Amino acid sequence: MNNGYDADVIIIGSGGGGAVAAKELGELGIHVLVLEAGPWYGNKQWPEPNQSPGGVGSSSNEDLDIQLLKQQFTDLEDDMNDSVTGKFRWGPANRDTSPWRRINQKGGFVWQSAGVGGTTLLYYANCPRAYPEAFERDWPISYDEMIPYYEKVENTLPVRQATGTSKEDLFFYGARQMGFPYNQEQNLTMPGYRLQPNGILSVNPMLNNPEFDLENNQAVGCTLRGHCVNGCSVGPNVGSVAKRSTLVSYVPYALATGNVEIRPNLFVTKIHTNLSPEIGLYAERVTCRNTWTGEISEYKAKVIIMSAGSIETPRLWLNSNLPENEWVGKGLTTHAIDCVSGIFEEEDLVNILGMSDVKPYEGQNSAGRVDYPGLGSFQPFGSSPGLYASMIYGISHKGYYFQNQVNEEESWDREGMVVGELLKEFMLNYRRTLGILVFFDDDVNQSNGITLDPERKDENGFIPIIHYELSESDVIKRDKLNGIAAELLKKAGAKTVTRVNWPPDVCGHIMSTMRIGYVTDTNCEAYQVKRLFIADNSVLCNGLGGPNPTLTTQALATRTAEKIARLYFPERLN
Amino acid sequence: MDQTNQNKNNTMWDENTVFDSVLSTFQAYVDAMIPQSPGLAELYGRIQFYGAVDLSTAEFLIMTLDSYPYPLSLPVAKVLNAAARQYLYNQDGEWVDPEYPDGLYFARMSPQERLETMEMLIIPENITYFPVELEITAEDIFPEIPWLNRTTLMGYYSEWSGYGSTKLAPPTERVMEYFPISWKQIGYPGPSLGYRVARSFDYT
Repeated sequence: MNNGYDADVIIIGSGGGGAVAAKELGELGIHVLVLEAGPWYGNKQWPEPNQSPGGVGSSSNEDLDIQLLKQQFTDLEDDMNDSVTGKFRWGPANRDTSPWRRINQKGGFVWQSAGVGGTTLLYYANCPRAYPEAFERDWPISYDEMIPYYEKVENTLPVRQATGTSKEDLFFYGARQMGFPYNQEQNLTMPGYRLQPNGILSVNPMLNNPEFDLENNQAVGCTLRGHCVNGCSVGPNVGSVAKRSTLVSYVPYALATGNVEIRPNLFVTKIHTNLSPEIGLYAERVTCRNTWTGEISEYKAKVIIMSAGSIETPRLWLNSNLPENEWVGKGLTTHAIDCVSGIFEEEDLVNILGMSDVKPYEGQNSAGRVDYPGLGSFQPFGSSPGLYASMIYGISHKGYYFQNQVNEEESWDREGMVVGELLKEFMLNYRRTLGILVFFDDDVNQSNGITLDPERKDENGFIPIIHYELSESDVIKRDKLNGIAAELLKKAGAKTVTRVNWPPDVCGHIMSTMRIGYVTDTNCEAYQVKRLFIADNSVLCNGLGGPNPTLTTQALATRTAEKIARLYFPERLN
Repeated sequence: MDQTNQNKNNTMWDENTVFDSVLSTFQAYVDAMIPQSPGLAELYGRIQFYGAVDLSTAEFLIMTLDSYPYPLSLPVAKVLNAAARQYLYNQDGEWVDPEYPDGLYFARMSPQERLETMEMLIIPENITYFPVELEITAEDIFPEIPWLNRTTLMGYYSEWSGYGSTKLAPPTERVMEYFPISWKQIGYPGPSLGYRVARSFDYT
C-alpha cells in the first residue's frame, strides 16, 4: 500500500474471532492482513503443510482444495488430536518439532489448536447464546445490543438446530425423567433441555437412502459420521464443509471479499507502539517469526487486532511490554469443565432407544444440551475412543477412583480416574457409555489468569503460566451441577456412573483474560493503546453463565469490526 | 533457560538414548494403568487379554515425552523411581533401601503400589528427594505427571498401535498397517464416512 502500511488492518490469529473480523472488515473494502501462527490445511499453496514451508500467503478461494483437505484430515484421532504431535496441536506446522509450551499449575491442560481456523478446527461447533443474566451481571454493553450481532453470525455461519442420534435420545429421556422442560427460547432464563444450536450444516437428506454412495459423496450436508472433533471434511468444496469451523466458513467468506490475505506459519512475537501528541500511545506495527525458517519480519497497519486466544493475547501484550493494567491476563474463566459418564445395560437401551447401543462414535459429537442458568450447562457427547477414554476416565484432580470415598448424597458411584482392570471392563462397554460434559458458571476472579514465567522462554518469548483455582462457593456450585448431570444419567437408567472430576484448570473454554470494560473500552479497543483491538475469547467480560463461548466471541467480533470501520475508516462506509 | 525447539534430528526414537531402565519403568506404569486381563479374556474372548505393554503404550509415552523441547522420558523415569523409594519408606519407616544397581524401584512394586506412587506425585510437596543430577527442575516435571494418565489412554485406545512397524516414525511417515487390537476389544468400528441414522424425533 502506498501509505506506508502493509494493510489497513492486521489481525493476529485466524481462529474463532480473527476470521470473523477479517470477513466483516473485508466486506467494507478495508484491506486486511491476517497473520496466523499455525499451518493452513486444504490450501494448494501448502500441499504438504506439515512437511515443507510452502507459499507465503493466500488471498483467493481459488487456492482452497477439498481433496487436499480430505487427505489431510484423516479422521484418525492420534494423527489429528494428539496434543504433542497431532495436526490440531498448539505448535508449529512442522510436527517433527516440539509443541509450544504452556504451564498449567494445577494439573490441567490447554486444549487449543494453531492453524487457520484455530481451535474451531476441533470444536464441536455448538453455538448457544450467552445467558442474559450472566451478561447483565458484568458486561458494560447490554444483551439487547448483542442480539442483532448474534443473529448476523447465526445467519452467516450458519447456525442450525443439531441432529440428535441415540446419545441425544438417551440424554433427553433422562432429562424428561428429571422433569426438565423442553426449551424453545434462544435467550434463556429457565432450566431446560434442547437440541444444540450448532454450526453444522443440516444432515444430507439423501443420507438414509441405502443407494447413496458415501464413498463418492459430493453433496452438501452432515453425514453424522462423528468426526467433528477430529476435523470435518465432508462437502463438495472447502467453503461447504459441514462443520463450520472458521477454516471453512469465515475464512472463505473473507477471501471472497478480495480484500483479505492470510499468511500462515507466522507467529507474532511483539506489538510495537508509538506516541503521537494527537492520539497518545498507539499500536503501530508487529514483529513476527516464521515458524519454518525463523526469519523475522515486520508489518505495519493503521489498526491491529489481537485474536490470538485467551492465553496468547495477554501473553503477547505482556511480552510486548505494553502498559501495565491490573486486568491484563487476569479474570480467567474456564467453566471448570468436568465430566460424568454412565454405562447402560443392553436391555434398558432396547427399551428406551429400541437399540442395544448408544454408539458414542456416531452422530454429531454433541447435539443436545441442558441449560441451567445460575449453575451452568451440560451436554452429552461422544467421540472416537482414545479421546473419549481420556476425557471420561483419564484426567482428575482427585486421583484414582479407589482412593476416593463416595458419600450417600452424591449421585455418582465413583469419583476419580478409572484405571486397571476396571478401565478395561468399562471400555468393553464403550458402545453403551454416555458421557456428559459439565460447564459450570464460574465467576471472574482476579487471582485466576495468565502470567509470564520470569525465566523460561521459547522462540516466541516468555512462556505463559496458567493459574486457576475455584473458590469454596464455586466448588459447591460445581458439585451441585455435576450431581444433576449424574442424576440424569441414573434416571436414564445408567447402571453405574463415574464422575472423573477434572482439574479446574483444564482449559477447553478459555475466556475473559482481557475483559471488555477493564482492558478495553466498549468498542474492544485497548484503553491504554489506541488502534489496538481485541477479537477473541479473551475480551469476553465473563464466562457467559456456562454456554459455549464461540458464538458470543463471533458476535462481538462482528460488532468490533463495525466499530473499527466507523472509527478509523469512515470513508469506506459510504 | 532457553527452551527453543531443539528436537530437529527427525527421529522419534533413538536406541542410544532410551535406556532399558526407562522402558522398564514406563512399562511398569502402563501395565498398572491398562493391564493384561486373563479374567476378562475368559469371560469375553481372547482379544481382551492384551494390555498396554502388548500395544507398546510405554514406547508411545517415551516417544511423546522426548518430543518436548528437551527430552523428558529419562527425568520422568528417574522421578518415578525416586518417588517409589519414598513411597516404600513412607509405608514402613524401618524399610531398608536395597539400593538396586539398576535403580528400578518402581517396576518392582505391585500395580497397586505403582498407582499409589503416581498419586503421591500429584502433590509435589510429597516428594522430599528430587534427583539432583537432572538438568531440569521439579517445576518442569510435575506438570507432566497428570498428563501421563490421559496420554496413556490416548496411546492405547487411539489408532496409534495400528501404525505397526511405522509407529515410531515421525508422525507424517506413519501408515496404518492393521486394525488396532484395542478397537477390537471395545467394538469401535474405526473412522466412518457416514452413518445412515438420520431421523426426525420429537424431543418436545
